[in-house]
Amino acid sequence: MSVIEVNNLSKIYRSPLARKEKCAVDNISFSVEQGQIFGFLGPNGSGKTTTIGMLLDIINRTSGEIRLFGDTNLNAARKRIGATLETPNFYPYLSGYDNLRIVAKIKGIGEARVQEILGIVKLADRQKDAFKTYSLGMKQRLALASAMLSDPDIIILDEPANGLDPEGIREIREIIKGLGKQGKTVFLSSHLLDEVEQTCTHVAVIKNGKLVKQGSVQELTSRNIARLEADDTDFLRTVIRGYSGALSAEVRDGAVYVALSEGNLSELNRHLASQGVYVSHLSEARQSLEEVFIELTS
Amino acid sequence: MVALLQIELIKTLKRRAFWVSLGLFLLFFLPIMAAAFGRGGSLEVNGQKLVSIALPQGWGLMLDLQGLDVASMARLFLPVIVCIFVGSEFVFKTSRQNIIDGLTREQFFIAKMVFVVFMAMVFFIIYLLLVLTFGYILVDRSEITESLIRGVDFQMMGAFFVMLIGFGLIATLFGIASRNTGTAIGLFFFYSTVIEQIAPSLLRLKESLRPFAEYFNYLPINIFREVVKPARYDAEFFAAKVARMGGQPLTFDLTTQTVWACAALYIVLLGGASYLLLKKSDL
Repeated sequence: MSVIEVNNLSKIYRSPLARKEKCAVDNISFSVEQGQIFGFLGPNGSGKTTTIGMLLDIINRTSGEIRLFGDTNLNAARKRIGATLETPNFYPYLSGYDNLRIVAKIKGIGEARVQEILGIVKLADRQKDAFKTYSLGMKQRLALASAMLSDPDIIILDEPANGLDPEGIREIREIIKGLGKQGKTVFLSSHLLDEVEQTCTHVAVIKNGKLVKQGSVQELTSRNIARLEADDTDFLRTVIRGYSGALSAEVRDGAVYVALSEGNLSELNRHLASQGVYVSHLSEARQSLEEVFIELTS
Repeated sequence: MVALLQIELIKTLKRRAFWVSLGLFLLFFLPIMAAAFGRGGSLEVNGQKLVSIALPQGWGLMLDLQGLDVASMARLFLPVIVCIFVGSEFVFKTSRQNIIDGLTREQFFIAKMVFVVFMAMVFFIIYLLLVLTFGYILVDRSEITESLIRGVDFQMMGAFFVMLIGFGLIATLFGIASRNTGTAIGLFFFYSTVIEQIAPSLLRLKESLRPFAEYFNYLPINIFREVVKPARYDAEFFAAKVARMGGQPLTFDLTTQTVWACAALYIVLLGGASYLLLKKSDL
C-alpha cells in the first residue's frame, strides 16, 4: 500500500516585481510504500526541501496531486506524520519539555508520552533547560523526539544528521533502523550517502527539480556492471565491444568494466570463449550509492 | 480552541519579553498616576482642584489624560508585544513547525487571534485594576457622589476593548507580512505616525490638498483612536473638564456611529487580510 503518492507535482516561484519565474520542482511523481525507509536525494538546491514542504503543506504547490494514506486531504493525514524540516525549529526560550508539550497539545497527546520520548532520545536530564542552551546534537535529538512523539505512521526527516559527530550519526542511524523494524515508513533526505545506503531500502534522486531515478537501493547499486581481467586488456575490450549485450566497455586500473544490458555473466563468458578469449577474472561489480548519485547528478 | 489557548499561554507566559514589557508599562505608568492622583484622587495645580479621578468619572479619565492615560500607553505597548510574538513565529520558523506538527493554517490563524484577545484582556484587566486603585481605593470617599459605574462607562470599556483588539490586529498584520519582529515594529510605527498622523498634517498646509487630509480620518489607527475617546460617551463631564482647563470646546469630525461602523469593518478586514496572507504564502 502506498502511503505517500506524488503525481505530477510542480512548484514555480514567481517574482512579480522582477517578472521572473523559477521552477523549483518540475512535474515529479513517485510513491512510497508502507514500511519502506525511503531516501530522497539530490544536490543542494535540487528541490528536496521544497518537495517535502509541499508534502507537509507548508509550501503551496503550483500543480499536481499529493495523496497521504490514499487521501488528498492533507490536514487530516498530517496528524499521522511526524516530521522535521531543515534545522530543528523550536521556541528557543522554552525548555525541551515545554517545546514538546506544545507539540503534544497540537497532536492531542498526553504529557506522559513527553516524558517517555525524552527518555528515549536521552534528553531527560536536560528537559528543563532552555532549547537555546542545547548543543546541535541535542537539538537534533529533540527534533527527532518531536517527530516520534505521536508514534506516527510516517516519519519525515530532512537532514537529521546535519552537524552531528560520528557518535550522533550512529545514534540517529540506529533510531531510524529501529523505526524501520517497527514497520514505520521513514522518508529521509540526507547528504550522507553512505548513511543512506546503510539505512534506506529505497531511494529517489532529484536534480534541478526533476526526478532522475527511483528504485530500491539494491537495484540502483547493482547496475549490471561486470569486471573482467585478461592478459591482453585491449584485445579483451575490442572483443567485448562486438558483444551485442554490452552497452559500454572501459579500461580502468588494469581491468575492463562492462555495462551490460542484461546481467548475464555466463552468456558474456560464453561469447568471449567463442572468440578465443579466456579471462583470468570475471565478477559482478557493484557501484556505491555515492557513485550512482554522482553519475546521475553531475 | 482550549488547546490553542493553552499553547499560546505556554508560549507567552514563559517568555521574558512579555513580563519585561508589562513591567515597563507599569513602571512608566504607575509613578505618573501616583504623582497625579495618589493623594485623594484629585489633580491639583496651585492648590486648585482641576479634576478628580474618583469613580465613576475615573473610568473615562483613565482613558483620556492628554497622552498619559492607559489607552495611549496601551497603543504603544500592546502592538510592540504583538509584533514581537507574531514576528518571532516566523523568525524561529515555529509557524511552519506548528503546521508540520498538525495545526491547519486556519488553526494557526485562530491561535494568533486568541493571542490578540488574550493580550487585549491583559491590558483591559490592568485598566480595571488601575481605575479601581486610583479611582476607588486611594480616593477620598467624599469625592464619590454617584454610583460607581454607569451605562456610559460600559460603553467606554467596550470602546477601549475594541481599540485594543484593533491595534493588536494591525500589529498582527504587520507581523505576518514582514515575518520579522524588528521590521514589524518599525512598519507599525512608520505607518501609525508618518502615514496616519504626519501625512495629513502636511496635506493641510496646502489649501488645495486640504480636502484630501480629511480622508485620513477614516484610516484604521485614527478610527481606533477615535472610538475610545470618552467625551463621545460622557460629553457633559468632559466638556466641563475642558472648560475648566481653558481648552476649546470638544468637536468630532466623525459621528460615534460612523466610528463604530468603521472600527467593526476594520476588525473584519484586518483579520481577513492576515488570514489570507497566512493562507497564500509559503511558510
